[in-house]
Order: sequence, then C-alpha cells, then structure tokens
Amino acid sequence: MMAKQQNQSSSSKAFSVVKRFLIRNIPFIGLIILMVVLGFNSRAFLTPYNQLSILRQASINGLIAFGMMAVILSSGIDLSVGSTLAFTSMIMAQMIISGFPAWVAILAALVLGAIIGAFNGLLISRGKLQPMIATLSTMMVFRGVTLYISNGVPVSKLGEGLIGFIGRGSFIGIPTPVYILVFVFLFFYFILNRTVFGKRIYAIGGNVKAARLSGIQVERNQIYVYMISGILAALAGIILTSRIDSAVPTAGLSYEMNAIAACVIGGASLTGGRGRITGTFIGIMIIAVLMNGLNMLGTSAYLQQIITGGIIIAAVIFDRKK
Amino acid sequence: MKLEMRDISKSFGPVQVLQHVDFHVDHNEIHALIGENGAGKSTLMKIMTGIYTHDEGDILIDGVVTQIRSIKDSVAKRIAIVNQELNVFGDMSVLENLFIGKEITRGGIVDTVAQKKIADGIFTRLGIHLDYGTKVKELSVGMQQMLEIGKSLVNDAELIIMDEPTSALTDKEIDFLFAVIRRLKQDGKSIVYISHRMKEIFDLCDSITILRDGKLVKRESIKNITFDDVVKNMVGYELGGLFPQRLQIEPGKMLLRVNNLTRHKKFSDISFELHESEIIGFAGLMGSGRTEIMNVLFGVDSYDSGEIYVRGEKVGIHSVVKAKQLGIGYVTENRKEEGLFLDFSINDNVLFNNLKRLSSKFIVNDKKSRSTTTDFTQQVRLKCRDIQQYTSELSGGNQQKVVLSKWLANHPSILILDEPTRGIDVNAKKQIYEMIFELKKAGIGIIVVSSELVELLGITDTIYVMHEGRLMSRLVNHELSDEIVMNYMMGGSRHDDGETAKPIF
Repeated sequence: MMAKQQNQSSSSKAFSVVKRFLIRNIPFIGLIILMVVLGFNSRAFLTPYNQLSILRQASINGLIAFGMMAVILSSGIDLSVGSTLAFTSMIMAQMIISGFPAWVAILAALVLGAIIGAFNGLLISRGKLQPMIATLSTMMVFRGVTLYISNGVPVSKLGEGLIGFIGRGSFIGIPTPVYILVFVFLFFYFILNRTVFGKRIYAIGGNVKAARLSGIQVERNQIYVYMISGILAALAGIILTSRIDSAVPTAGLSYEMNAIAACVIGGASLTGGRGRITGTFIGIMIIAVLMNGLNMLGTSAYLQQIITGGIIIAAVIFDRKK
Repeated sequence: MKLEMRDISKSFGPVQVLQHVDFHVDHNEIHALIGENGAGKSTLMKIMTGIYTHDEGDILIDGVVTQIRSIKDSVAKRIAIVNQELNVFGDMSVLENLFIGKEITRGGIVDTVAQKKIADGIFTRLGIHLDYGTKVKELSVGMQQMLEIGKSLVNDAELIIMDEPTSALTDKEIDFLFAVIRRLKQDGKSIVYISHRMKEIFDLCDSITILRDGKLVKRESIKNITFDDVVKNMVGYELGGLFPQRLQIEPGKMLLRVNNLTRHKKFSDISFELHESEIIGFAGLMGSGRTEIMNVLFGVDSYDSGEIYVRGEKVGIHSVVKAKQLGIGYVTENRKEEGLFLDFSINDNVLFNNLKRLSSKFIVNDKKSRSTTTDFTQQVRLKCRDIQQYTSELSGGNQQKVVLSKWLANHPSILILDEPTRGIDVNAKKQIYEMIFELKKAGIGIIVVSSELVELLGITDTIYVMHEGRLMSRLVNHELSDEIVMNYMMGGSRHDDGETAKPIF
C-alpha cells in the first residue's frame, strides 16, 4: 500500500517535471513540430542545403532581433532598426563606389549604427522621450535621409573581395552570414547571462526604480543598449547589401516588426526584464522556417503573414500559462 | 442605511486575513474602522464594495441578507467608497468626472443639461461651487476629494466609506471635509471612516470598530472609550512586549552629521547626528519630509543647502553610487515598487545590488553570488525554498528580509530603514527588530523612519519629530509615552529636549 502510494507520487512528480520542461520550452517544441510537419510535406525542406539557406535567410532578421532583444529586456523598443540598416548601408555603398577601401566603409557603417543608437538612447534616457516615440521619429528621419541622399536610387555593383564575402561567401560549405549569426548569438548569450552589463539590463527592465536605488546608472546603460541595437542593424545591413550587391534606400522596411515578433515568440515580455536570448533565436528560426517551408509548399506569401500573426498570439497566450 | 456584516471570514490561499469578523454601521452614524497595517481593514472594505467576496458569513442591509459579489452589486446597493488614492480622471472635466459610467443620455448623446441640473443639487448639498468645465487636474486635492464624494451622491449612495481621507489635506480642507461629512450624516447617510489619526476619530466619529490580526477586538461607542484603550486594543500588547530587551550600548564614533540641510518645498534646516551603534528614529505624518530627507542622504534627490559629514569628512552625496561608496544602505518604504525585483530570484536580488562586489572585472562570479546570498539570507533567517525562488512568491515579512540581506551584503556602516515593518505580520516584525538590534551590536548606525510610534518607542535611542518639513523636536527616548510623540506629530508646539509636552487627549 505504502509502496504503491510512493510509486504514484514519484510518477506524478516525474510527470510534473516533464510538464514543466514542456511548458518552459514551448517555442522550441513548436519549432521541432513545425520542421517535422514541413519535412513530411516537402522532400527538399530537410536537405542540408535548404537548412543552411534558412539559416542564411535568418541571419539578417536574427541580428536585428538580438539587438531588439537587448532593448526589449531593458523595457524599451527600437523601431528605427530598419531605417538604420538602410541609412548605414547606403553610406557604406557610396563610400565604396567613391573609392574607399571596403573595410573602411564597413567600419564606417558600424560606427554610424552606433551613433544612431546613441542618439536614440540619449533621446530616451536624457530627453525622457518614450522609446516608441523616440525611435518612431528617428525611423522616419533616417528613412527620409536615406531616400534624400540616394535620390531614391539604389547603389549597385560594389564588387567582390571583402564586401562580397560577407554576404555571398562561404567557408567549408557554410555561408559567412551563418558564422556571423552564430558568433553574435554566442556573444550575446555570454553578455546577457554572465556579465555585469547583462545583469544590469535585466535589472533595469525588471524594476527601474529598484535598479536606480541599487546604484545602477540607468541612463548610461540605456544608451549602451540602443547602441548595440544600432550596430547590429548596421551589421545586418552590410550582409544584406553584400547579398544583393547593392544598397537599396527602401531596404529594411518593417524589419523592426519581424524582430519584435521573434522576441515575443521567444518568450520576451515587452514590459522588460523577462526573456532569454535562446528564445529569440528560436523565434527567429520559427519565422524563417515558416517562410521557407511555406514557400516550398508553394503557398501564398500572404498566408505566411496570417500564420506568423497567429503564432504570436498563441505564443503570448501560452507564455502566460507558465 | 444599516449595514451588518456577520461572521465574515476570508482567506487568500493559506493565509486567513479575516476571522469571523462582525461589523455594523447604523444610519445617521459616522463609524470609525481602525487597526494596524495588515489588521484586515482594507480586506473588509473590499468585501463591502464587492472587490473581494467573503468565504463565510452574511451581509445584511437594513436587516435583509444581501449578496455583494461585484463592484456593480455594491453600487446597486448604494455603497460607495472614496479611496485614499483618488480615482479621478485629471484630463476630463468636473462634469464628466461626476457622471463617469453613469452618464445621462438622450438618444445616445450625453445630456449635459440634465447632468448639470443634478450636479447643481449635489454641489449645493456639499456646499461647494465648481465650474463644470474645469479640468479636474487643475483642482486642489481637497476639491478632487469633494468631487469623489459628489460622485457617490450621483450614485445615490447611502453608505460612504472614506479611506484615510485627510492624509493629503491641509488643516483648512480637513475642517471643510468634516463639515461635509457631518452634513451627510444629517441627511441620513452612514459613513465608515478609516483613519490612523486618533484626534480626528475622537472629534468626528460616533462609534468605533477595532480590528487586529484579522479579528474583531472591540466595537464601542466613542463616548465609552479612551485613547489608551484604542491604542492598547489596536496593537494588542503592552508597549514593549513586541520588542527585544533594550541594548545598553554606548554609541561609538560619529558616523553622520547633517547640518541645516534644506531641499526647497520639501524640508528645511534639518540637523542631526548619528553614531556607531545608535538607532535614531524619524516620526511624523506622511508628507512631513521624512522620506525626502532619506532620499537626499542616499543621493536620489539633490539638496539646496546645508552640509553632510560622513565620519567627520564633509561630503557631497550626488548619486546613489556615491552613497553606497560611503557605506550607506537604504531600505525604502515601498519594497515592492522600489526594493525588489519581484520577477527575479532571491539570488538575483542580492546580486543586482552588489554587482561590483560579486564580479571580477565585468564577469559575474556566480559561485560567490550564491554563497553571499546564502550567508546573508541565513543571517536574516529568511524562510524560502531555495535562493532561486522568485521573490514575488514570498510573504511580506520574507520579502523585507530579502531587501535587508541585499543591503547587508554591501556591508553598510549607516543603514536607513524607511517603514521597515510596514504590512508584515507580528512575528516577522519581532524578528526584524531583533535583527536591527544585532546590527546595532555590530556597530552599525541605523536611521528608522516610521509612522508607527510604538515601533520608534520600542527600538530607537533618539526620536526626531517632523512636521511639514521641519524638525519639531529631538526627544531622547527613555520615558516617552506615545501621547507625547503623538502631540508633536499633530503639529503641537515646539519643545526642547526632554521637556514634557502637554498631551492633547
């Protein structure tokens, strides 16, 4: 009798552990299910070549999403990433065309991304603008500036070499952007989980008043966070420009929405302080797999949006049950 | 209206917050409801207004058993509440506020003419004149409160609950409010009056109900009860029963000296000293400037003039970082809003406050963080599953212990405790007092800010009494009765050290 009871309780305990694991990893499980379903329906989907190209497609949105994640963790939002991407890559392309070495132009793009980010951060932390308003404004400003300086015309034929390698090259069969994506992911994982700076971001997003009273310099760290977002948007822009061998003034339109979606699907809370970078990675992969898979199945592009929207709603509702 | 609540019980999970409480108010009666924080006043109030439903017991209105299961029910039963935190819509007009959710419409369009007619009547009854178009945020707090009372009259309320209505009012506004309340009583309304201010209760109310730890301890006509009875019943022990044996330690070296510290419109000319192994207390009503001084000492707010000396050295405390470097710790009055990261573990809470100490270069030392957290949470006798438990899952007392440990981990020499026992149960209080004495023994200088007189009398060596931004008096705490301190808190005359003030009761 006793033994039986014990047995029951240990099996129910095991069950609750499994249940906990499942609930905690819903996005990951969702991704696996999605891949299995698509794999059954399309022979080409699971091939290594296709998997790599999903990762390559994911790299641009992924980099932006990682930056967005840092911003969201600090309870902010960055709508300007798409414009930052377009602006920095336009400047880079024009520099290359006018004869600057590629590495100088690339560096310039990254520095510009950091400056735009710092500007966002200043507006928010010192100017006390709401993050949504501040970055909505810079989104419009830098989109406008990009269109103005380019006259709305793309800048193409940037050549091979470094600028070609970043987006189009590969190393032992794996595309360069995939290396960049994985490297940035690991870097972020380390920053957010192991460093003082990462803890500060969580603390600021978790409770800004308490963070301030703990001696955390909220304003300074907010600026850093937006700078990171700006740099990563620029990096994504460099990859995109290299991939299509041209800087397009309308590039990156509504990329901020994809990035926010990835963060939310991955379990981030827009009020800040909650979410993991692994979740964001999974969120990005879900969106990329969905796009790729539905393409392969020959479904309409419009359907993809409907499904992505539905997944966001489901993700948030499930998340609340945790 | 006659409201009776019989045998009311209410639990939240395992915690029983009300145990078989009886409560009644007659019509034409102003009835005081008092008790310490956590005694169950607000739960009882929320049951009356349908925000919570009780587990056991009956509610009777005019002798008939009634169900109040939602706010809508309570409004329909003509019960209204004027909260301490006013529920006004600042950007809407007086008239819109008055009729919010109760708009008079004709064919789907708000009928302002009809509304004004009703409002005229209500304003005459209250004895106020307000322009209907004025935005409510432009009104004084006193007038906003009148508007709230007006709102309850729009709903034809027969029972009006007032929760600490005078906490943000000037003396003149209080007089006016009392006149209005008396007029409402004449009109046959019943009033439940919740306040910590004894003087008001004795001035205004007809009868009193005292709750303690979720139980009814006394219901009495105000004529048959004395101030002493009320306090004794409210706290439930003779003064001192709750407090550890007093430590007779000679204060050591001077830790902190404040000279004529002034922050415009908040406080002025504040001077005091704090020594090693000394506990000083700041008494005063809410808004008297106590917390504002602490915010300045901790570098949260700036000051306009005066000097601060730490360990004999003149310092400028212009940031929290600086305050922490000087060895100051600050347990704030709102632990949920300012003290804790609720959605984070105990370990994270300690870590976030000690990032520099618990990391090498810029990388967090998890092992050191965990061992530090374990050490200090054991020191404060924290009850938790493990240090990875979320602080939102802890009881108020244990949450406060987390806040204490996160500051102790920073090894402060000066510790500021603002309302250290607010909203926590008696046992946890006792433990916190013991801890404060342990810190005193260890040589830490402690500043306690508290609205609970008993607490200050029980643990401090010196009490500074504040009123409207000024230090009214410095009282050496040996033979103090609470009447004396209460007198000062009410804004009584200034006295020098030790001189006995005339009690007002």
